[in-house]
Amino acid sequence: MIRPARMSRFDAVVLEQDRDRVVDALHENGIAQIEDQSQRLRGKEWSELARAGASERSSNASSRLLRVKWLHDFLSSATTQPPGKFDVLMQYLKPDIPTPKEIPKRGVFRMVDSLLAEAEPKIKLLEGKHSAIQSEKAKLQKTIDDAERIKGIPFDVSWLGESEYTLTEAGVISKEHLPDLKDLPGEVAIDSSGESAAILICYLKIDREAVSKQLRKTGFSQVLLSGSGTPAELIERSRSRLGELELNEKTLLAKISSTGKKYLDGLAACRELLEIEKARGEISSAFAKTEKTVLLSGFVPSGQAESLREIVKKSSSDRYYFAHSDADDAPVLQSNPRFLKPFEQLTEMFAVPKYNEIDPTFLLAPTFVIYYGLMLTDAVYGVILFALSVLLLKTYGKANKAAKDFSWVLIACAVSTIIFGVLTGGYLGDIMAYLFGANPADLALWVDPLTDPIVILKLAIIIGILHVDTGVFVSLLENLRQKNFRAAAVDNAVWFILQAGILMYYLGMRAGLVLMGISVLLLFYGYKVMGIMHITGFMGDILSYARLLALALATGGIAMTVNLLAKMVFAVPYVGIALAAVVLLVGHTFNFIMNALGSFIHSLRLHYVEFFGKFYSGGGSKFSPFRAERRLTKLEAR
Amino acid sequence: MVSEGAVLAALGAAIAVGGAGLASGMGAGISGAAGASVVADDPKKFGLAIIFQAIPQTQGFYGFLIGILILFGTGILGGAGVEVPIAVGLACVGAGLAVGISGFSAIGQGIVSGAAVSEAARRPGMFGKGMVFSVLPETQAIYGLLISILILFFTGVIGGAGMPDIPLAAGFAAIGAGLAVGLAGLSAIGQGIAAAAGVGATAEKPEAFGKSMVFSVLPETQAIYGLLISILILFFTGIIGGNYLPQMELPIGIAAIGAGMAVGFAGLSAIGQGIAAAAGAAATADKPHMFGKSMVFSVL
Repeated sequence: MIRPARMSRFDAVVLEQDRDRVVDALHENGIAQIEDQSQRLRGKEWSELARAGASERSSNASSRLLRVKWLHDFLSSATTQPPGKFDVLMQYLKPDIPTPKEIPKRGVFRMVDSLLAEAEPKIKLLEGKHSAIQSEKAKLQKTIDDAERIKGIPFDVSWLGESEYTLTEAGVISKEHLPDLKDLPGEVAIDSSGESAAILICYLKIDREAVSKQLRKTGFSQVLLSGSGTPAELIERSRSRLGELELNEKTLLAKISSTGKKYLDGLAACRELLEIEKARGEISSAFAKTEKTVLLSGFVPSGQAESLREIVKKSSSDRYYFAHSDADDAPVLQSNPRFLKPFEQLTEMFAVPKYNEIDPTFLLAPTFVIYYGLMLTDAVYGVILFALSVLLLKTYGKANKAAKDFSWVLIACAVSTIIFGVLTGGYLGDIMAYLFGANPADLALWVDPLTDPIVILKLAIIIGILHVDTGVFVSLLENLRQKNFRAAAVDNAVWFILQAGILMYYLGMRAGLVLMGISVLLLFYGYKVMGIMHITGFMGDILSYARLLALALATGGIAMTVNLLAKMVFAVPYVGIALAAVVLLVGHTFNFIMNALGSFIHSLRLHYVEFFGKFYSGGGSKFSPFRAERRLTKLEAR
Repeated sequence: MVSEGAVLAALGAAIAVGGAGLASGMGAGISGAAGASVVADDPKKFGLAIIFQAIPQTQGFYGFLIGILILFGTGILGGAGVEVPIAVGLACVGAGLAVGISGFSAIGQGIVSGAAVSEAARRPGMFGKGMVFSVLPETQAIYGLLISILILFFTGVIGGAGMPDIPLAAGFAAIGAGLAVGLAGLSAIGQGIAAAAGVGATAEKPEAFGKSMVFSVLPETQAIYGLLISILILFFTGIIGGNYLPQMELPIGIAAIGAGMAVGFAGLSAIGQGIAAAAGAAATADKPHMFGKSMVFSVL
């Protein structure tokens, strides 16, 4: 709890022939992080060994994965509708939690291949038809668009093009260029009923140069059409064909959809299996090998080192070498009791602890929750927050681990808010005063921040002193443990000496001045003139906790203002009650959101800046075990 | 018949709401512009943009809160018809200045949340960290709110204990306290600049988060000096605690205004410090060993 989990570095050697089975077992159990060996192999004593390289398993998996992905993507994109507004919300409220499909332990490729053999030709056929329809539709649409531009001229489109002596072209020019066509050598038909003019022009081949030069000047844009009949007829024919195609497409989509129902789940499961296979093939590039053996090495939580040995032993049929020893530096696995686990993400957001450093989660959790409650201080807001966090836990929290942890943090904060709300008499601000004539000051079990802010201010400053001192004390212990005496004196002890001095002086003891002097000298010894600045910094850290009061007042005060406004509009004749309801709803919703968010961030800030700043730096790398991520599949229990 | 005290109180409320509102508008404009470009890129990020845009709007609410408290406390609204002494009216002006001027921290906050929303849109992991950075320059507004509330409470405007007989000098001292915390609160603009650089550094290198935070809170020192001087003014003139010096002369009040302005305007140095700290955060993200050296530069 106080420090990250102890880690052991392990080395395991198994026969090349057992490699795949050992990798499978490690991946399923997922307790060890595998380290790349290439760095080690550079050492002289390791020259006999070579890097293993990815096994053919990964290329086998990759090629199949490509095909499976393609089929899966085609089926799902052709069958699913674009998500509506509420679908996105529903994803959170009713997350799709699949029931894992049981699959046999061996023969992933055989399974995938048999599915591919059955499904691939069918789906490819459907895809061929689908894309044929799509491209014909696009072509027809283009014909329609082109014909629309010149449909004002009644001619047969089969005239277009070359004959023995003449050329015929259709197209569009802007109306202001129409006069330029006057001296064109050839026959011109013009329809200027539309926005721009459609023209049909027929000229002798020998005039080609002259005509095209002149047309270019007018900005002529040619329309190419093929077939027969007038443009209007062409449009009609294309439209009816388009209608036919759309009908065809509908039946085809129905077919694709039913095929999708049949194969999508299987394909998704195969996709997951192949991803796992691929990872298993690729991991061996982290191994070292001799002719007949492979060496794999990495980190495992010390408590699980022996179970790792068992896994290697069993999967290699007892042909193995395994050794482990305590690591000096290792990836970090935070190990806190279950009720602290959800708070680990708050520590991690600042920085993952170093392996040998303290894991401050157990220090952060209780004060974080208390500060949150102190800043929100409203029982009704607390109940709302509680309901929302339980909702999050029961919906999206089921599908997402981070959301689940987060909702537990919020639940703790909500409980704390309710407690402080009851203590300070905050129920939607002072709404009880309007409903039952009970002022917050009467309801408060302890104190109402608006009538007596000084009590809370004093409390906030005392909390600040205790919290900052706790940070300094932890730093003192760490510095002493690492025999870092200078830092222990000028960074830590100095503050206790200073505070003791101030306290003694305050109590009327002159000796306090001596202690204060000593602390200033210590700071000067440690940091020269800059050291004196540290005193204001330290005071600033403590004063910063005054925000506990300010935010408590802000929540209650704004809620009070909302109630007041509601009362004012309530006096409006006839619609007053509705207006008041709207003001209350909107005002309190807004105040709740702003302050629930603000309390969280400010509580976090007090921990990150004022508290962690005293002792915690972090910067470790997170333990990431080699573990199969299974969502859609699970192994058959033999 | 409206008394001079009530006019002054109304002036205080006006400064609170007007100053903080103007500042919030400017801050929200800055973050909103960044938010708009994010939404233009990806309309699905609308919710994200709204959240970050809302951050610099809290100052407006603090101003509104103080404004309403003044108007109701002095009976201008609600029609309680309380006689407002001039000294209390002056104190209301002080409360207004504290929250109204410190509200300009919203500009600093707008700068950070603008940077944060762009990064959060690109990297989902930056949402939480961006939020933390964005909320840093709110400290100054909270200090302003705190001093406002203390002034109003001890001059009897809120709390319902009735208005004590306050010497005129105490009213001026309250203005001094308001100016100290208000003007020093402008350090938030410097903090905003530093924190925006912190957001950038963290987005590139997540492990730079802790050190960027240290740089970002440096310009807060000035705000803390302002808060400290404010509290000292309120304490030594007897506003806090209600033990007014019996023969407190007007010059003491005027001197308090001078002290407030001194620490307040000195607090503006934080803007320069913020720019230096921004460079420091960027340098440290590039080269971790620059941390110590950059710190020295930034503190200067």
